Amino acid sequence: MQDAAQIEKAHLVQTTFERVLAEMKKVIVGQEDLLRHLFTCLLCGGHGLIEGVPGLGKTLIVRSLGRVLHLKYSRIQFTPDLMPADILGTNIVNQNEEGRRFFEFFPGPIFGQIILADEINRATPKTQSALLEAMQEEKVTVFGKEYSLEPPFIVLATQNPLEMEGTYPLPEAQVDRFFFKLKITYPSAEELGEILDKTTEEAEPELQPVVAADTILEMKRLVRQVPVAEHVKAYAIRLVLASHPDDSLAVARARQYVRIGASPRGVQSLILGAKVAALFDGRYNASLEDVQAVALPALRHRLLLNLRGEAEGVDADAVVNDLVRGVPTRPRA
Amino acid sequence: MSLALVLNLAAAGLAKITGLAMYNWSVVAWLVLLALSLAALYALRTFRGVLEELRSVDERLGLKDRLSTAYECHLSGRESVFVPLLCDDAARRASAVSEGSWFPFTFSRSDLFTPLLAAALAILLLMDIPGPGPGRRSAERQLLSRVSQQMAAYARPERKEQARPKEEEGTPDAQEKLKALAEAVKNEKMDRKELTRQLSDLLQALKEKRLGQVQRLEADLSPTPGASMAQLRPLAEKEVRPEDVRQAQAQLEPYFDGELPASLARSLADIEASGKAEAFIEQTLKDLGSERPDRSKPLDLAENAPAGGRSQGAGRAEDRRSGPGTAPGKGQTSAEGTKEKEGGAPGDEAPPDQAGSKAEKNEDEGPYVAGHGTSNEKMAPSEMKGTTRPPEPDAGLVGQGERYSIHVRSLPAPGRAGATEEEVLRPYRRAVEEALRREDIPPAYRAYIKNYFLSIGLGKDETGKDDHARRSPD
Repeated sequence: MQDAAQIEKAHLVQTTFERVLAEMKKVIVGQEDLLRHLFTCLLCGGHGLIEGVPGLGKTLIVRSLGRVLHLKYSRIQFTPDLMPADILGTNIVNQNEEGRRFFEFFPGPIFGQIILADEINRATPKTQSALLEAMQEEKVTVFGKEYSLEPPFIVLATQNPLEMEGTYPLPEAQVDRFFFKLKITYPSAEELGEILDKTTEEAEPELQPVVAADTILEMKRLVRQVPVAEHVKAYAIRLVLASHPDDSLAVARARQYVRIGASPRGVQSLILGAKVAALFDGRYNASLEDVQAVALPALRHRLLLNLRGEAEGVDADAVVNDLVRGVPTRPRA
Repeated sequence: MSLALVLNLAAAGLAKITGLAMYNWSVVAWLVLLALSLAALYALRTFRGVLEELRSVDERLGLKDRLSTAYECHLSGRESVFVPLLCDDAARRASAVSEGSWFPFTFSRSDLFTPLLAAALAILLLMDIPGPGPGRRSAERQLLSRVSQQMAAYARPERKEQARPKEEEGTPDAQEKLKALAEAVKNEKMDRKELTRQLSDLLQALKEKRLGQVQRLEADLSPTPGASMAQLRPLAEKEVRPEDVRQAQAQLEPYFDGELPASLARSLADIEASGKAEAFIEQTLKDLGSERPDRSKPLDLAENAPAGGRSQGAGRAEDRRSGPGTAPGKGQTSAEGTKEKEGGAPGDEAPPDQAGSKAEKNEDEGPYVAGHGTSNEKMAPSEMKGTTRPPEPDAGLVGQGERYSIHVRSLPAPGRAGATEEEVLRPYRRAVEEALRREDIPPAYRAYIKNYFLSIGLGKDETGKDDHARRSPD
């Protein structure tokens, strides 16, 4: 039998998330799945792209998460005139006591731990690309000098799917760097009533930090140790291959409407997300069901639809659902 | 088990069909052994391994891959915080699963086949199923046995001596032949088909023999004043009954002062014996199920008469018409695509309508070929398409009969084309469709693109309104 400390360590993710969720519920009504997936992004060292119509609390969720996790929070409001230096920081001319002038690096808002890139699709591609190095390598290069970002580092970007005027769709390379793409749904009537109660009364809830950065880093290490059976890995691979229209495993809708299928980052997202899902569930192994549970947020933004798919208004979610339904959990003999 | 039953069913069915006594207990045992071997081989080939079985159990019991992952970790020796916990968890859950749940018995529709196959095998073994197989063979065997007994009884020598020895002298060969056939059938050396063929040949030989006897009798009677073939004609018919012989005998006796010469009496007795043998063979053939010989056509004395022996029947034979195309008419003009055919011999003074029916009969006997074409249509010349004139008598030539114009439709002369129009057009049509498809215009955009070109004045839009009319509501 295992000792209590080992069991407690194994259940660290589950208990921590329960504490975070309880704290978040003070200000956020519903959206448990969204919070779960955001926490998954954090534990997997990935970044999240949140899509939803205005007023659903995207910014509030990210800001609250920053407070609860006790991480350094930065918010960047993306606008068309935003420049890369506004994000990364720049060298400014400073003068010492002796009157000698020198360049001093003034860090931008990217030098935080939990970054809210609000309405990321309003900035130009050049500015959007400024995030690429930071998201992938957790460091930035300014004037030839590299600056490391403090771990844990997570970018949570939001975008509005309705207003397309004056926006710049994210480049494929950048979209692929997001671990999950999450869709925030409209609250139900009961949830709306609860929102009213919490936002229109005098007392405002005060969020308390419940998780430190060290704990998050410890959980990130734990996640990587969750065992995954070979057939589960093979299933994740088949799911990704089936999204490629030219592959022999491709499902019908992928053949019809997809131009480019999911990248290898898609498989990584599936397996890491499945590991975290297993830990949330109190299990010690990732299962096929865990892979299926994270297939939508992990793959929906990695499928590029062809002209026909866009013309017919095909939703990438429908293609991913077809993948989950159409790809057998066991390979065909 | 199902495989064993299927094999046994096949073997039993084969034994029933072929009639061979090859299905016994040792065969059953061998077949069961074969089925078991095949089943074991199949199980070995499809054995998936422990890991795959654990995956199946995980899936069936909803264990979320705990067992298979734990087993895999155990095999690989992987170390992790979670591996011992996972193994403990898997062991705990596996012990909680009841034995029956590991490999539960599941009933499927295919399981119904086993009792059905067993029932079919039992029915096949217990019942003598009538049909094209053994039932038919046994019935045929019985029929052949009965026929052979009848033939043997007919050919028995004592019958020849005791009953009417004098009259049987005309058919000793037939009796010998029948006896030999009866022996062959009895010893199963001859099947029904062969027996039918042999009997038919024998019947034909008897008829020809009888005809020769009648002709010899006719030759004997020719010097006798007053005696003629009128009395002998019934004896040359297809079937001769004893009454016919006695009637002919009674009619001939007055010419010989009431008593026939011995040679004539012997000839008549031979004819009667032949007739009886023929009747017996015909009845036997009928019993065997073969078609009876055509009785509508009488035996032709002239056809079988020896050279120089013709008397009254020969004249009738000369009246027979020749077959189609054997004697082309004088006015035949094949270059015109018609064939003129002479109908009737010079002595045939038939009326035009009767002659027309003769010609029509000749039309039915085969196709006429003229020019490049062939006509297989069987109809009277006056009924054929394109015939503008009715049959007309040829008044210019004496004894030529009537002349008919027969229009023969023929195929057109072959041209240089080597393929049909459809064969040529099909690839072009495919190429056009392929080109349109390659454009990859989404269906939702087709209307926009079409309306764009319509809006710049190329025609009418989808609603059918004129573009200019749509632009100017006035």
